This record gives sequence, structure tokens and C-alpha cells, in this order.
Amino acid sequence: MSPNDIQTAEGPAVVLMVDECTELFDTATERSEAFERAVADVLALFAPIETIEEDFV
Amino acid sequence: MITTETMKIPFAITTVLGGVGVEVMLMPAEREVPEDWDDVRFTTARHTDGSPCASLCKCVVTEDRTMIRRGETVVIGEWTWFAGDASVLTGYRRTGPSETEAALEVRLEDLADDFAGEKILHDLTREDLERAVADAKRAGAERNTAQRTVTWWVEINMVLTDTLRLLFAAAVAGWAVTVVLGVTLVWWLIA
Repeated sequence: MSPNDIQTAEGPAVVLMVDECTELFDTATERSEAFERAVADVLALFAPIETIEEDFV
Repeated sequence: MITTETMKIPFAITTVLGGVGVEVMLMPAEREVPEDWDDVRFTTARHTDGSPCASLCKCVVTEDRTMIRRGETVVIGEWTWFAGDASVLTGYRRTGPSETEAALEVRLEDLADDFAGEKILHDLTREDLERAVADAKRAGAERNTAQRTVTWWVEINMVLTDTLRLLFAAAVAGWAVTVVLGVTLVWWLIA
């Protein structure tokens, strides 16, 4: 366990610090791919808005 | 093609999707954790508007840091943060209307104008109908008056006709009686 991990009633929990971390991705490609997946997840949330347009046109 | 910016917050990747009206930010964790681990939590310092408390800022104390469990979505201010299966925290906020929303707003304004036009037309049509109903009522009243007058004249004519018929019959009868009496008188004188 990392020093940041905590013990909960259900058991140990892994705690990830995210505020100042730059070491997760080994390469710029991995970093870019992860970001593209994140963008795709966000765009999926707004997909219904795009379908509304088809209904109105 | 997604372009990334890292100027404002060095440890985050961010971009503004103008067409969708959304700014997306990805913040990597300090280490990678297998996706099948049950209880994973992300701890992060967030301003009240949801933006990250960057390394030069440090205004958010440790006790006020936000804990987000994997699979959880948290809304802080104008930012929505969610922790996916990967060891990254993803946030987004609206920066304005998307192209679709902007088009819908324009369409909404057009529909509002159309509706206002239809309302004016509806009001004019209603005024025409009300005027026509008033005219029809007036014409009906005039027709009823004329009908009453005609009915009165017809009744008067019928009474006059009956009276004339009675007078004629009486005259004929009187004339016949006179003739019979005259003949009888002549016959009696001769006899």
C-alpha cells in the first residue's frame, strides 16, 4: 500500500493523488490516447443533444 | 483532431471543444492501479468553482480535498468530475452553447417569430368571425321583423277576405229574397 492509502470499514482503499502528477504515462502517445478516450467519454454524454437536432430538422 | 494545452496547469491535459461548447480536462493519477481493484479513490484539491487548485495556488487545505471513488461523478461548481476505470480523473465544464444548441436557439427565435405572426393572424381571424357573427345576428333580427310584418298583413288580408265573402253572400241572399218577394207580390196582385 502507498502511504496515502486508507483503511475503511470495508477494507483498505487505494487513494490516488491527482493534483500534481505527470508520471503516469510513459510516452506522449499513451498520454494522448488516454486524453482522447476521456474526450470521447465526455462527448458521449452530449450525444443526445446531437440526436435532438435530427428530430428537429 | 484533438489538440491539447498544458500551459495553465502543467500536470493536466485540457482542451476546449468549441463545437460542443465543452472544456475537457484530464488529470492523471500518481500511479497506475489495476482496473479490477475494488476500492480506489481519487483525492484532489478543487476550488469552489471546481477548477483544480494548481501547484502555485495551494489555497485548498488538505482537509478540504475532494475524495472521488472510482465510478463516481462529482459536480463542484461549474465542473463535473468523474473517475473512470483508468487511473485518471476526467472533468468537463460547459463553455457555451454547442453548434447544435446555438442552431436550436436560432430555430427557437424563428419559431417564436412565427408564433407571434400566427397569433396576429389568429386575432385578425377572430375579429372577422366576431364581426360576421354580429352581422348574422343583425340580419336574423331584421328577417324576423320582416317576417312578423308579412304575417300580420297576411292575417289582415284573410280577415278582410272573409268579411268581403260574408258581405257578398249577404248581398246575394238579400237580392234573392227581394226578387222572390217581388215575384210573390206581382203574382199576388195579378191573382
